[in-house]
Amino acid sequence: MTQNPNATQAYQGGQSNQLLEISGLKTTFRTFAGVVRALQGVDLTMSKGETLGMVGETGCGKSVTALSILRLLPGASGKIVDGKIVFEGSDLTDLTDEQIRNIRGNKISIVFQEPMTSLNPVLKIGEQIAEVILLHQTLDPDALSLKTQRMKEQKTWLESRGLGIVCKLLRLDQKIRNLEQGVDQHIAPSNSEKRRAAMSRAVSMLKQLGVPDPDSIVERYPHELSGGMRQRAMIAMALACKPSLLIADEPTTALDVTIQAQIIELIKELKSRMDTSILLITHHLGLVAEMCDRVAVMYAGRIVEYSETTKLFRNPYHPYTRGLLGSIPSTTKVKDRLEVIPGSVPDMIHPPGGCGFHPRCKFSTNTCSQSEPNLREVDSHHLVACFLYGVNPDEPR
Amino acid sequence: MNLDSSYLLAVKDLVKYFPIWRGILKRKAGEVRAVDGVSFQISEAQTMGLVGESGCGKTTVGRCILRLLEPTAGEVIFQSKDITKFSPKELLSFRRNMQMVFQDPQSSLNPRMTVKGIVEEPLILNTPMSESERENKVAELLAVVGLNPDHANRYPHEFSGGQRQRIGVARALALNPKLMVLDEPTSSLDVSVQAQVLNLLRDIQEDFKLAYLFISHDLAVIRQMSDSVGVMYLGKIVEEGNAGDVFSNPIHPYTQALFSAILDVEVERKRKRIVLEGDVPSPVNPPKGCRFHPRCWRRSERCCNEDPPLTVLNGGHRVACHKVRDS
Repeated sequence: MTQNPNATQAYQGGQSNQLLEISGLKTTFRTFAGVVRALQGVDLTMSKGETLGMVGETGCGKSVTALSILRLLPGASGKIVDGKIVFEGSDLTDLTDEQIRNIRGNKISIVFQEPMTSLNPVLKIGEQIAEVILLHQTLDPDALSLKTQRMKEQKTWLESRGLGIVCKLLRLDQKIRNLEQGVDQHIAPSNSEKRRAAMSRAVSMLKQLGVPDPDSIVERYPHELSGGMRQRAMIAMALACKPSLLIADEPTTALDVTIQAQIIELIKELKSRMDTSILLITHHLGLVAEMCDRVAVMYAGRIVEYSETTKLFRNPYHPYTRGLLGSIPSTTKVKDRLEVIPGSVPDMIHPPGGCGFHPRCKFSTNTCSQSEPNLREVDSHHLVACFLYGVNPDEPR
Repeated sequence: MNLDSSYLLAVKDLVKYFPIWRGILKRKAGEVRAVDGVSFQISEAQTMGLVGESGCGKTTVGRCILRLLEPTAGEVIFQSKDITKFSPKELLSFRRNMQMVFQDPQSSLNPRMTVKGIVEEPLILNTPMSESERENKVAELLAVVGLNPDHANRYPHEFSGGQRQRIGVARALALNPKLMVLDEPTSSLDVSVQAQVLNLLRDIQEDFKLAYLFISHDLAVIRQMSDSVGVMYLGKIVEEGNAGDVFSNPIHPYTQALFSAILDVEVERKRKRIVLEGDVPSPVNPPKGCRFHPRCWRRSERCCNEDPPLTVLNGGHRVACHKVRDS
């Protein structure tokens, strides 16, 4: 396949603000039935602070893109065969396992669809959030100040009971002084002290997410929480290290509408507060319209249309995008019949040649089945991979 | 009992409590009040949409109507006959009038039966058709739902999600029912496939003069499909009426919040979103008074103590809210 990274770069207007650049990403899975070509060359750029939506139907490769970025593909079968994922200047596909572990949950974190299956059922919520913090953040100052505080409490407790002599025997005063001045080199916090510090950060994280009574929530197990609460715990875990990129893979699909509204408001607010970029993966076009600055529409392992949200919804170019938008029922306009895209999503073991959409496309020509269209800029900041607009953007739609 | 003869189906004060058993003696420790006094009517060839969040009792209503669950109290009057009083034998011959399409075609189709076997089974049980007649009927039904009759000998796993749901529809159609209960028929499908199935359901409704009880949590789907809509919250209908009225002019605060949470693709039109606090309370111990009052921003003293009845406004639009009655 011929890659076309220039188009996406031109679109970005330089690289200064770039956070993530994916070019020509191809991922495959080995199965008994054959090799599934899940991604067939994905090009994508994200700049700092933006929310990018990735939409498409089941099996189009949205989640695989997310898993590829974090290198979370199942080791035995999934493999990135080609392409680059440049994140903050380094290519994630080249990193060692050790290096990628330092990025996961720290610089890039992910929230999955079903919080019940992605939380560990036998660990308390607090422990799970604290684990991320313990792994990625230096807790020494926190732990030391906690330690000092506890010693002071001990001291006042002892003195209030007239046991000042014990204080002297334990040399508490001197220890506190040492801790405060950081004189003693041997007072590195123990693991349990670090854990305690991480736990207190977990509580404050939950508090920021508007979880009522966070002190008791951290002591509970996932099954004791409601769906919305679990998803908040997942988000707390994901944001605990203030990542620069948050991948949200269908974050609200398992939730009820009113709870979804709560989570959306929450993510929006946190995003502006923490300055995190979000890659929102969803099949729900309404969610994209609500949250995202830009949208990438995926079909059969490729991005077929890529634009600013308002532009894309107002003026979709690609036949697939148009079909998709036409097939959504609306609460304001009742259509007699919904528009339909005939057929179903192709089998990615034997993906159709040429443009992946041509077997379902009513505009398809011979060219479509033989060669593959690249993403081209058809309108300012509006990229489409379709031969209908290939030669001359003014051609009839 | 003949009061509602103008309707195909009339549900009156339907109640379904599920007991909770505790301890080794299996003593009753409480009840899940899944459905707590629901009434509505469906006319012939009309669609009633039942919408609400998970756990509000919409599926239980559907199942009680078919007597797949025994209602605790209330009447289900179908063609002037109260189904809840039927003996098992009467029920057996009666069931052909009502069929159900389930949410998940993966689990509602027997994986070890061929499509022919699945669609044919109700015919074997309920009609004296000969084998060749049945075979013709199966082919006809598959054609109706847009499947290739040549695929009758395949197994469900060989079909895609949308096609499987079509098989479920064909099975439900086999006995020419008058009412079909559709329990989230498209929620496991992708949007483009969902549109295909919704169009199919519309066509079938016209051709077979079917009445639908359409249960869904997706408001846009309900709007697309329904003539009338009932909004459920915690086992009760809080607002009901003509689909156009309810959607253009929601009155109950819960309905307003629910509709404001709809995510629309029309980017130009941004609504003010009402974000409700907290979660849906447990139906084991529903709040006193109006069940929505702990999350309601318009609550008053009265809402906490007194359960508001459904009040009829103009045009058959019914709302259960004290605030509406007062104003």
